[in-house]
Amino acid sequence: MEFVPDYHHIVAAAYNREAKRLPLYEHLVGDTIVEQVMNKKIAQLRDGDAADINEYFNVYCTFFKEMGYDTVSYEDLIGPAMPGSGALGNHVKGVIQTREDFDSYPWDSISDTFFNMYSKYYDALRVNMPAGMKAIGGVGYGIFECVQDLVGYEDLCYMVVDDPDLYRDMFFKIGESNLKIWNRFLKEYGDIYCVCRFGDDLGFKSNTLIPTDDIRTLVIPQYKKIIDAVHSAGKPFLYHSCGCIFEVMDDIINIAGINAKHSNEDQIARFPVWVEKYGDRIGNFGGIDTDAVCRLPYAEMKEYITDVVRKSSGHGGFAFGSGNSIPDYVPIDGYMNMVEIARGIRGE
Amino acid sequence: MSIFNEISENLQKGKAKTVKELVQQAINEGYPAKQILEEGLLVGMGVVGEKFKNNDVFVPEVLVAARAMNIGAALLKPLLMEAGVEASGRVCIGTVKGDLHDIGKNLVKMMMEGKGLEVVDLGTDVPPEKFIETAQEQGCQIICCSALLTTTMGMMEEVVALADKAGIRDNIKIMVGGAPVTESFCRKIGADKYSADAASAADAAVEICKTLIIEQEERGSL
Repeated sequence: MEFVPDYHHIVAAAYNREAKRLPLYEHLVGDTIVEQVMNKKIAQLRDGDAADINEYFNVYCTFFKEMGYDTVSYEDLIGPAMPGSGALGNHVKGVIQTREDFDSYPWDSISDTFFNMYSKYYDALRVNMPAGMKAIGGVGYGIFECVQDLVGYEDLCYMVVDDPDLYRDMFFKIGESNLKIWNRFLKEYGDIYCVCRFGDDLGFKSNTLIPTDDIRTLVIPQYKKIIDAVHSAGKPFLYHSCGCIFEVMDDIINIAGINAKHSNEDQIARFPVWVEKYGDRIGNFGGIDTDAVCRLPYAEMKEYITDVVRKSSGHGGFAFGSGNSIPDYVPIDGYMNMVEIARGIRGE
Repeated sequence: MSIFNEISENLQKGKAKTVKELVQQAINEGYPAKQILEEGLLVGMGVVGEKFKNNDVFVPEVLVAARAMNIGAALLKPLLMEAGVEASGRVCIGTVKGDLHDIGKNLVKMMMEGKGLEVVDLGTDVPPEKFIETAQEQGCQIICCSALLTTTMGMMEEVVALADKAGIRDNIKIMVGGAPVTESFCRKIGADKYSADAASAADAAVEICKTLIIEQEERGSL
């Protein structure tokens, strides 16, 4: 029987209600993976003309439908829209190191730049959205990631003692800038999205990357403003953060007001632990550590996934997928096995 | 409060300027550089490392403390060399080939330096051969490999294989760490030591260096 997508399943999971059919979810699927599954080169099409972009989204959206998803995961990133950015992932020196840098930074241009860069993609996403599906995601990069992209993580750590006022102001300014983008995004493209999300990796293997008090006073208030805007638009908010963030989870749930959370790594806690801890309050998205998707042979992966689904079902909202994402380096067989096993569990 | 305690306390608070002044004061007062290093700087960094291991402080506190230590240590370095004081061991560290992530690696480096080890930083995207060559050329007791990605951690196995091939495993131990790396992975590839966090890695490195140096001295005296 042909798979019929229905985005209401993932909306239910985001609102922490058990969906009638276990929805599949990925934070990101690399273009190389999509190309291998769809047997079509698409990565370069994003840089092409309107027809190319349309073709890209046609293949991209069809991929999600054919793989059994109810939603198309899609976001464009704030980072590249911020002049001089790149300290987060591109290993360049942060563009803001001093108060003078901060004061002269073209903050007001970021929102316009973002939409100048990406509107064509969101428009094409709308046109190519398959029936019964909506998008999940929205505006990529959270508060902490944007701050790091302009300052650099290590320099940000030094800023804590060298210029605590500047350190604090960075978070508030980014919060203001990101909210401006989100407000316009929700107005112009909210109709194509059923669940909104940003990712903001706050932790590493054993702790948070900055002090928990700073997360509470500097980061979460900015989250709240954006999440309130998403809620005002009538949508649930899915939060993605890697790392050991248990110390601040209560604040992220109670104060920021997230509806659901994604990302799990087995070295920190297996997915059912997250469900056990927070399943009574928020939906939980994820399930299998990306490392396990890369490494496990079929039989072991089936055992792993069956165990996760069994332990995580019956505790409210749950959408299944990798604990992080499916970047291009994930072996295609591992990804295909994961999807096949999950769809098998839901009777397909 | 002794000047060493003052150095330690200020280092823990990341007060680089004060640490520098205090170290200079201690030098002027005639204290041996080794004593200033061991009883002031390394004691302070040891406290920070222990707190980090117990999640009592966060990465920023470690980084600013390490910066303060390095500024103080820079004043001592020529005096230590003059006095013939050697580091308690030498480590070459790097993020493996194909991987550009360096925060974890840098943190381990700082923690190791905070334990009095000399660390040769090879940076990121380091080919296996480079680890082996450097360790041999610079007389390192430890090769320390870091990786953030599932796909790059496999490079650690190549480092181990090359070290085997070079016949250096008796004298040089291989440590591994990073987000996807586990104890079982360490055993599987035949590396010598896995550490879950930067402070534990530094503790382990000190022990390994101590053991290897004693073994080497014993072999030399036979």
